[in-house]
Amino acid sequence: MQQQIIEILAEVKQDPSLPKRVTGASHLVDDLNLDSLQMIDLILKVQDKFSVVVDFDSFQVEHLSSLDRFTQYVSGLPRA
Amino acid sequence: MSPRIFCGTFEAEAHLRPRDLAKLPAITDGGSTRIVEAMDELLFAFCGPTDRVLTAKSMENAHVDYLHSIGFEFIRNRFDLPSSANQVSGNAGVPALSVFDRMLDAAGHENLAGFLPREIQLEPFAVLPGTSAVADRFGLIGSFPALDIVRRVNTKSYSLEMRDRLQLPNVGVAVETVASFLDRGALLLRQGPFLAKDDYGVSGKGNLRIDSARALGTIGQHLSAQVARGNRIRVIVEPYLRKSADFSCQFRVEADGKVEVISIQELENHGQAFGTSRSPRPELMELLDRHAYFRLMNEVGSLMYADGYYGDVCVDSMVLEDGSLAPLVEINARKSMSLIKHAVDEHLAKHGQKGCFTSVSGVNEGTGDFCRLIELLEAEEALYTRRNSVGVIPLTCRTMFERSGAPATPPTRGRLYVSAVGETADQQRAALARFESALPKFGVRVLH
Repeated sequence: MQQQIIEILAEVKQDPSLPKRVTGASHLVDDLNLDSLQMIDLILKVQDKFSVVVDFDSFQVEHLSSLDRFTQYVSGLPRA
Repeated sequence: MSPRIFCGTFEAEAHLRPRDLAKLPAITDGGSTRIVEAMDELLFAFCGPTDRVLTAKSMENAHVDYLHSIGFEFIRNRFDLPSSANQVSGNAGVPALSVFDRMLDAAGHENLAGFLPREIQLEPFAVLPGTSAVADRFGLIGSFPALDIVRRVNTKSYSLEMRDRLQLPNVGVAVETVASFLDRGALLLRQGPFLAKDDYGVSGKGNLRIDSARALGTIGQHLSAQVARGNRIRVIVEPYLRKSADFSCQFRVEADGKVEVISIQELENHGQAFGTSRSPRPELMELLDRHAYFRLMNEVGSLMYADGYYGDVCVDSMVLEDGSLAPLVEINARKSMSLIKHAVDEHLAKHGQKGCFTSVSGVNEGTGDFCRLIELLEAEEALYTRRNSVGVIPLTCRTMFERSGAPATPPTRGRLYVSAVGETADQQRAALARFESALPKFGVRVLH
């Protein structure tokens, strides 16, 4: 799943070189400079890819504090 | 002309937004609020020697000294306005209180009263709730259009209406029910991705690009949940147009209805958000002349005046990939980042220089004060000075750095707004690259 999330991140950031510099510890905001629109775009694409449901009203930006943490969050989401 | 006082709150549209309007999905990021709150430092660029800039947090001494050393003249406040840190705005990344709310809260403070001489002209970045009350309360000179008019002309639906009135091609539609959002969205998706725009979205930030039926469904559900809580919907949907150039026109509608075009700025945007603002290429200006663009902007201003608006306007426009012009993408009835860029350019032109306006994002992991940063940048020849004509001017400070002498804080994300000065675009890029290379030596990790 993490590899697929990295591919989505590269697409959201429009940066094909992103997979080379991202690690499980990478902070999606402070290291990858994801802005607020890109966060939404990432979540919409993750929902699409993994058929999961995200509640935007309760989403915490802390879920983006590392790629590992975001992957864990996505894997725990209810299925659509 | 009376001396003027410049103040304002950026991402102003969020303060005009009715509370019962359903929102598109957004994620709250506390770091953005801190940055937006300190962007008012940029307003010094409009000042002349007798003008004042009132910032919510007082500007850093070393920053002010540097700006004075390169010829910017202005008077600034040396105190902070009461904080809105504990207030919740309900709008992701937007300060809860505008500068006018905070001025009214601080009306009894001696510092503020002492900084606001009577008979000074109030020059807001944007007219917001509280602007007229501040002028009345402190005896400032200022005539502003009624707030309901300011609200109307700043909506995306007003921009759509204006396209129709000017008989311009209009690909956007305002939808007011979830069903029509889903129907119209599904229709657009057959042709490709489309944009959903918040009626009061901050330029660029309130636009969602939707490229799948599933994403459309998710946003539909998000809106439905708000309708169930009694909110109403007004969302603009339009095809995602592929563009070859983004630019904007700044003009002012005077109180007597006269429209004065001030400048054109070309934009290199990051996705849909603001990136770099540059002076327009000659070929763009030729294209605009061929399409009678400036006559059109005069018509926009005249129609806005007829609707009761006067003051600053920034119209976003595009050149599409097929070479056609989309002259009226969005009307922003306020001052703008591009107008600030123009003000900095006017200052540089007095010294025979040119600049581009951009921002550098980074994480501040250091503990040094801004005075040290200025010294470091000068040593690295990355700073624009009277002796170094190819360099960068940091236009803001508190958007990334805490006050000198403040207790150490954990690493914080920030954004510095800068003008990269150089005769050519290549020199400006080189100046920016030197600046970005110097920042890590000060403990700032630059983000791209």
